[in-house]
Amino acid sequence: MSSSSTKTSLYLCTAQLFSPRLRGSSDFKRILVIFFCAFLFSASPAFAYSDDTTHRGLTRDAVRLYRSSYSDAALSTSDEEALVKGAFEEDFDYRFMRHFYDPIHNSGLTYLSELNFGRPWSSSKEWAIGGDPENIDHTWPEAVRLYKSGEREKAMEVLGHILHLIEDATVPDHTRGDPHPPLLEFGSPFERFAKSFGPSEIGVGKQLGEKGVVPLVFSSIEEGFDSTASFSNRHFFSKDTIEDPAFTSPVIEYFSAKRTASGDEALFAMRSIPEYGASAVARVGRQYQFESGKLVRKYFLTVDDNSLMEQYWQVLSEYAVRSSAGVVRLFFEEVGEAPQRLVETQDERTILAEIQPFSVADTFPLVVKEEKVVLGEMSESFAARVRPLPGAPSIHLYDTETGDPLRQVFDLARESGVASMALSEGTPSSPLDESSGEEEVDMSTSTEASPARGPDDEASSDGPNEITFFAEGTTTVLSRAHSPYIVRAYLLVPSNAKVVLGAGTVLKFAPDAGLRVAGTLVASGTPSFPVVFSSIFDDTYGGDSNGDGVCGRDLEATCPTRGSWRHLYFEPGSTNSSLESSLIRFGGQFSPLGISYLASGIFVEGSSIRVQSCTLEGNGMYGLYLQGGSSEIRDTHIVSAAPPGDVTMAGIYAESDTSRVERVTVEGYQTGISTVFSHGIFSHNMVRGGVAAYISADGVGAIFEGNNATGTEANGIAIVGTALRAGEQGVLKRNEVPYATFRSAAIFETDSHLLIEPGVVWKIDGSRLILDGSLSVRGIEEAPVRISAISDDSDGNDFFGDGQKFPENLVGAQGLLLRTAAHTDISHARLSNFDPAIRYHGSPVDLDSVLFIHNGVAIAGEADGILRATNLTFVDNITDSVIDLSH
Amino acid sequence: MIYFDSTFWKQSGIFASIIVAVLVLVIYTGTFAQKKDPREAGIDRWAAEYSTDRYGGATPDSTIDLLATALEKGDLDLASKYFMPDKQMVMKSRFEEGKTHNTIDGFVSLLRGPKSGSEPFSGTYQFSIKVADDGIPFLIDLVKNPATNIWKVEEL
Repeated sequence: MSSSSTKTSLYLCTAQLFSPRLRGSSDFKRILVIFFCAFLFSASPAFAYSDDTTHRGLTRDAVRLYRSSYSDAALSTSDEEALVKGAFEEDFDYRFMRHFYDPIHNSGLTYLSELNFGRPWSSSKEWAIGGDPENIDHTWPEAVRLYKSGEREKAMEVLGHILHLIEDATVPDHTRGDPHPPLLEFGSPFERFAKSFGPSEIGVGKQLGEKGVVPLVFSSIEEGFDSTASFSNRHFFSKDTIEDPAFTSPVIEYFSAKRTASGDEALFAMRSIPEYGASAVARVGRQYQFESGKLVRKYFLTVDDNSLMEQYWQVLSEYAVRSSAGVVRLFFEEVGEAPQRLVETQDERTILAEIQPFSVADTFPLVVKEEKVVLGEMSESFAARVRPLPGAPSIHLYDTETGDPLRQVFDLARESGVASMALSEGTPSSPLDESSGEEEVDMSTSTEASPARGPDDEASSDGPNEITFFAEGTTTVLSRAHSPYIVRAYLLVPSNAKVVLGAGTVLKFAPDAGLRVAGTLVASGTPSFPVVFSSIFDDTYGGDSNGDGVCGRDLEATCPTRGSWRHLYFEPGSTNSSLESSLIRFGGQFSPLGISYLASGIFVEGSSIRVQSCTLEGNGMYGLYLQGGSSEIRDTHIVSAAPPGDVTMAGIYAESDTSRVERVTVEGYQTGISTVFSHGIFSHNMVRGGVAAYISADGVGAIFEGNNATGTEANGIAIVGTALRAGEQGVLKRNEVPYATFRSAAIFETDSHLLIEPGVVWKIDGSRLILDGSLSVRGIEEAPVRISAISDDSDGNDFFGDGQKFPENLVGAQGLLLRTAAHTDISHARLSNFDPAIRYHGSPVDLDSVLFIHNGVAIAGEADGILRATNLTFVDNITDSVIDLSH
Repeated sequence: MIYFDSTFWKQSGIFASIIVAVLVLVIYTGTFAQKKDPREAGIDRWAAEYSTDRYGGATPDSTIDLLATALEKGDLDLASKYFMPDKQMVMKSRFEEGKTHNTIDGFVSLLRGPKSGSEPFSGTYQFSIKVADDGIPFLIDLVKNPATNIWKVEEL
């Protein structure tokens, strides 16, 4: 047994010994408990943050930050020791079962509720505020009461209990209902890692103080719990809730390859945390899927090395210290002794308000100390929460340049505690209360039409506008007049936000930057004034935005290349997004580990968008990547612009989707359109050029109609591999180019059904069509279905585009293999240049009005097969049939 | 003739008193334990599952070998016991799915195949199995049970 576990057991026993149940009991009884503990201690839990180390350390750091933030902070050494004692003791006596608070579902721990007589355990918030009758002595109201009655030391001890709960609220396991379970050395990797910090001061509070970071400000203890728990819940995973559908956050923004301590390269899932920057939140690994026998990608919180947990700790420990220090401040505010003066030698003015950029309490506040505030650093996209402190007068915000008033902040503190508002240029208006619903941030102040700027144009006189974030609950309007807008991060459009780009708007992205759309993105360009999404190096639109000269004119200028920025990513849950008359250029940045789908100009995952009359040019491996969803892509031009020899994948890739792709032209990609078990509709598209620019149909659940290809090495729609899975249905409609099965067989599994409509041409190179399902060939007299060897170009289609003419009577390729489970019904068809054209094994075959021409053997059947044939025609076959067709 | 002086009787009396006290303690302790808050008793039982668990090997490799052997024998119940107690039901369900779809063999091949391992912290171990060239491996995390010194599979 580890020494820490032993200690924990002893602490537990000490708690039992001094618990209220035993107070006043005889010494004899106490001795009995000691003996009892000796039997018990092998099963002692290890709790959340270690009470022995981490909680004590964090509490000391919170005290340090509190003292360093306020010059009039009255917190003595004995106060600190009492706080630390309380924080240490809160885990005693199985209280830890109430140390969970899921702010999304407003619940405590539901695990092991059977031990609590079938009731969920109280949340830490309820536990702290006195909402659980089992906790009377260690609640917030009790701490306030004790202090006011002069029992300061006891009050500090009880407050220490509350700090313990606040600190636990920065542990994702505790805010996502993950019991982990807290036993022995098992459980949360984060808590296991954090255990090494403390019990003396950790240093977080000192560092924060030196940076001038002040404690968070809460208007109530309830808000303290809500705010703190929301932060850890939304930005971090716990081990067993990574794929829990009960939580929609955090959302992975991108991936980053790093070396672990062992020297291996590992892929980490990343997200940006406001004010803290990019943080790895999970390791990407593979999991064996027992249903399919395949290894699928999955996120893990692993034990690989410290790199992942270090990043968790860096952010969450700071937040724990800031929150705890904020709760100490709130406590003294409630007892009427709130500190007022920040520790500053030059400026000891009273804080009037704090301005926190959205979202919510994620960021460091801007401290306001005067009624007239000039926001020189404010960007146009700035939106914020303004929190006037009690007693503060009205705050007025002014633009640095013009001196014009911005929106006015009224003193709402006494009424609602919080005023939520948007700040923008323009006429002052009333602030919006948080409950008033969606607010709008209109960054467009001009409707004047002017074409997008070219390379010789200058950028707007006040320089490019940088966009750093899109606020939650807002509609942001970007305009041509303020273009170009510069994006330097992988920006999120939150799920409850909308971004509207007017005609002529230009968005330019730095390397690693892109847009991740959880909400709605609407780009409404026109043919004359398209909306442009491009690289910051692209001087063709929006001028020379990076100031290095014009590409193609100035030698020192950097020119854009494929993958100069990330992509437009529409993530699951994104709705109502559309791109009309827009240009998406030079996106699809290459993943360091070669994850190809990330290298796409537009990446749609589990959601749907509408793309109309757009041009995608020079984007990474894919132009448009559709994973699920029902997108509509029409009248769009996708061109790879890849230099000869560069690898590309597909202009459009569609998998497991039900999209409609119509009148799209794809040029220069390895594969024009690639579908994988798609059930979409692809009609009247054109594929040009490329190494082998055909339509690849892995699975023919999709419908292809009227598509064409030219100038490629394989002008057709390739059907290879598992064409229809068991139980699936497919329809082959007529196209300008043939379907083709080559280099690999096309397999139709049991209980699948394929219908081939009139006029369809299907060419097979000998790899065979293998049928275990049902095949209905429904040609008509005027438009028979042609199934032939690939050498047959008598239909006028030169599949390989090599101009080579094969002899008309060339035979040798195998055609249709109809296996025992198959059911085949062919009418008005032409089968040519095979050997054999049809081979069947014990399965029923109905042939009506079928022409067999230029085959070696036309029909090769087994004796146990059932062939029903009418109106067959045999022309120039070596052998018409190996079975007797006379009856 | 042996004589017992008063010291002897005094010491014997003390010794006998201690024996009696210990007996009383043992009886009283059992009674006390039964009167515990039933919730605490439940938590103790839950905790005991972990501290008495002996399914696993003395090394990470031997745990993986035991797991593979159990799967090869078709003993899914035993195979699931090599996982952390809170994961055992889930793993048994996954193994049963593998049995239904005949994919257990593929999984065992992975376990038996070449793998590199490291112990980043004392008491934790990770096997990394390269399955593709994209840098995304199949990972097996193990944790040592400090109460029984056996290695349990935490996640894979």
